[in-house]
Amino acid sequence: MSTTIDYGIDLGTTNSAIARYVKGEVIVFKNPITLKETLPSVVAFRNERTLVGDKAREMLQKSSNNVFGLFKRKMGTSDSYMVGDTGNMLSPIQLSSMVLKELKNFIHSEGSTESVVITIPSAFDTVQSNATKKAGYEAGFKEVVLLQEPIAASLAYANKSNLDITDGKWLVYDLGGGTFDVALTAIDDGELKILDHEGDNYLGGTDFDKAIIEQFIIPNLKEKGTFANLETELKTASGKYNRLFYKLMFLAEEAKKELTNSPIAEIEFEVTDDNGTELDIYLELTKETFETLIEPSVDKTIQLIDAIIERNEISNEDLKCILLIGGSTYIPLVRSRLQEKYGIEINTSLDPTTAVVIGAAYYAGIKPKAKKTAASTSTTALKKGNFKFAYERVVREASTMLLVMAQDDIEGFQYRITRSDGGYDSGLLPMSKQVTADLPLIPNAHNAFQFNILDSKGDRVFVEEIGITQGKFSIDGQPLPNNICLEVDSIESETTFLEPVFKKNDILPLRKVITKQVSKTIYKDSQEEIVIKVFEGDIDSIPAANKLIGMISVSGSSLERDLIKGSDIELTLEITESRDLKVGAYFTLTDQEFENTFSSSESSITKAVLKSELDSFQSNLGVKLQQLEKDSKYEEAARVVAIDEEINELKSELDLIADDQISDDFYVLDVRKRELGKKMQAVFNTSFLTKTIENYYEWKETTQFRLIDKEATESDQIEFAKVIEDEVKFLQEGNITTIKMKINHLLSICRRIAQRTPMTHEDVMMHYMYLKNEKYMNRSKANDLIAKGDHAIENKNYIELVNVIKELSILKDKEGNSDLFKNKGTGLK
Amino acid sequence: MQEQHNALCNIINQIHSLEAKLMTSEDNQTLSRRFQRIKKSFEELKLFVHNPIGEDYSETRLDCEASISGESSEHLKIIEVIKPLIYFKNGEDNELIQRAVVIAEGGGD
Repeated sequence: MSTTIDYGIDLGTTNSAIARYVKGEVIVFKNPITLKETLPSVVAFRNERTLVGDKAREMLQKSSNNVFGLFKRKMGTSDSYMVGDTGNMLSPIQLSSMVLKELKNFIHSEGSTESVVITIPSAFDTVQSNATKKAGYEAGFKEVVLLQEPIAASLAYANKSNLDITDGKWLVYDLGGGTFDVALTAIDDGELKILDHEGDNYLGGTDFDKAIIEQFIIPNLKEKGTFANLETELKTASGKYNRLFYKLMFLAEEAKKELTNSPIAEIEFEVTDDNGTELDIYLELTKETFETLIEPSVDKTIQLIDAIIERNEISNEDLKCILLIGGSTYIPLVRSRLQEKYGIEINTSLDPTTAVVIGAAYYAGIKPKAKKTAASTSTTALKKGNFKFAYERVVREASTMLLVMAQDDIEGFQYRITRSDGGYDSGLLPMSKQVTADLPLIPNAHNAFQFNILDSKGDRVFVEEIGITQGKFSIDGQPLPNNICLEVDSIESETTFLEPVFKKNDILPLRKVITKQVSKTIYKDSQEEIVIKVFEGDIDSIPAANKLIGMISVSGSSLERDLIKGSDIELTLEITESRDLKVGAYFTLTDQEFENTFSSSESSITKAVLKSELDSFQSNLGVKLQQLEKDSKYEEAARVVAIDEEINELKSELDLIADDQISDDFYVLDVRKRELGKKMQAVFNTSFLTKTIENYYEWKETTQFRLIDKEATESDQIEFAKVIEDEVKFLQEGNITTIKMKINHLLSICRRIAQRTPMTHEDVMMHYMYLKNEKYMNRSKANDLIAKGDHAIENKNYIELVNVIKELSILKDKEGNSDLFKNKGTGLK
Repeated sequence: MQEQHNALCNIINQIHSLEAKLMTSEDNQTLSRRFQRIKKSFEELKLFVHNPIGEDYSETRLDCEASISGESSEHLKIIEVIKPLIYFKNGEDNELIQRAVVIAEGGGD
């Protein structure tokens, strides 16, 4: 067992790291999950989950109440941070200890981790230093030795260069992501110490990225397009260009890196300006321009160095070198300005991001442990028998559920699940008697997870390896268990029905492109919408009796121009082997594409949707009940009443669930709703079928009439013959969906012929003239309009005729009023 | 190997940008098929490219580095993919060799 401390930690303001001294060499540990050598010093709390590092930093801008960074600046103060979600107060010490515990998890080698060297800024006073020590103790270390950061960097430099520094002074220039520090360091009588220091807590690399955006990209954008309040729209969360801002932050950082060894960096992106013009932006950021942008910041660092030099009454010649650390010292201007100004060696031999931690580990490697610490204190180590694990070892879904049950009391422990490829980390969560977790899986692969339990000091006290294979079995030849259908509008009424897309037992994966027509005009910027709903279930039943597995709705506000009735929508439906459904809709007229992927583990069920469907059921039942009572069919009426009561019961249960509640209850109620849908179907089916067959005959007759027109072609005749060839069979089978599809087919033949006929408007007028009286809500007004229309035909005034038709169509009492299963419609036919 | 992977990742990233740029302008099946073939060729090199656009995003997803735009950080969806995620599949082992760089936005279902 080593007698020296060996472990060094750089507990940084923005990033931290841990390293170990082993036989003259230093190993910087990598985060086992992200494989990065540094860990962002950020802690986030999401519900019960504690996140430390990269994922916490992602949330920093968005959830300031629950995410904490830069707490190192508050070390030693009485300031505390309130976690918005829980109301718990956390001190900077506690937050720092969480970062330290996380760093302990990086260690994969053997050896005691009870003693550690932690670096602190040279500016830290005693209180701040003690606070850092306390954080170390809270993280489970028994011995904490502090080391000033510039000294650590100097040690790294001395060891790297095999230098025996015996005398002299030098500067350690530390320009990081968000902070700047400079320290005058010296060896005096063999003792390495800090003579003076300066710093700016708000100067670093991210300021340079912002300068690229604010002073280079934004002015260029304003020249190339029309943008009002561009800065505000970019930077505010509700701004319309906020999404672009984050992309620009990424592009600016990439350009900055590129310019460290290239004279020009390209910045390329697309944006639509306020006039709706799509702009392809291509900018070349030259090294000169970039240097002009950051020069004021670099000059500020020089002013701080000058202040130190002046205060200590030294000259440039008294300095041996300037040692550069911190990621932003890669920037050539920083190096050249320092060189020009001071004319001394600018030392860049160290990796600027790990220099401090490497120096800390070197120091730890020579620093003996102050006291003998007991061997591992993991007396709390838990036994395998204490836990029961339940999970499927082979699954087809994209994720699977893990259940862990603890036999004993495990209060105060936390658990964490990670996937070996580094794609998943649950974060730290409180351990309880029963833990469930939804584990995301890599498709068609073996997924290795590790379930760890950690004690209050962050020490791992239990580990279980979990292996789950996704999709490996029956990858080929999995049959589809149910029909997949699309909900479309019925032409002749305000109802919808299901059209099959993929049939039961089709082999996965499946893909189909189908072309549908828009059944109603959707005006740009209107609230009207096209709804593409995909159902799983029985095609012979009403949509609401099936399971909705995917939905895309496109409202007028998303359209770039009006979407005219009759224009084509190209729908692409894909189902993967793991049953993810991908739906794409391409509107040919507006040249827009909408797409969404639905995972089978998700559901689109919401309280509002369920409620609206149940309301629709009841409204239809009401109409049916009236009819049955009028016809004295009391037995059937009683069945309707019973269904209605069941719906009321379901609605009461639904009311008890909170709107935003995430619960299995919705799924349960949805299943019951579908069962009720099937019962309704049984009640209505007979009359509904009769009505549909009647409609079929009407359209068959209309089509035959159309086929006599001289515009009808031979191919129309052939198509018609094909539609009706198995008429006897499909009418006898009584499959409503099939009959409706036949009607649709006939309609499309009629429409095609009509499009070639110059008399179209006159024909429509004739149709309105011969509608039965009861088809109009106001018959006398309809008669006036019909007279007007007749007159317009005589005078060949087609503008007038179109207006008359429009008014008549509004007056027309929709056939669907007396129909069943009336709903809002999808906008697809 | 590492250098080869870096170079291949760079090529994949460029192809991803091209695909994103070209495929939004029109529904081009010809182009789409070619992009699929390119991806297949990478798969022969054991590199599996996945574009997580439209997928849910949460803090447990370590296969993506996200910037979160918009006002909400709840119910996050990936709305833009700057770099796709790339796996190196070697037998049973999957090594994530490039995390996706994405923009996620909250407020979805």
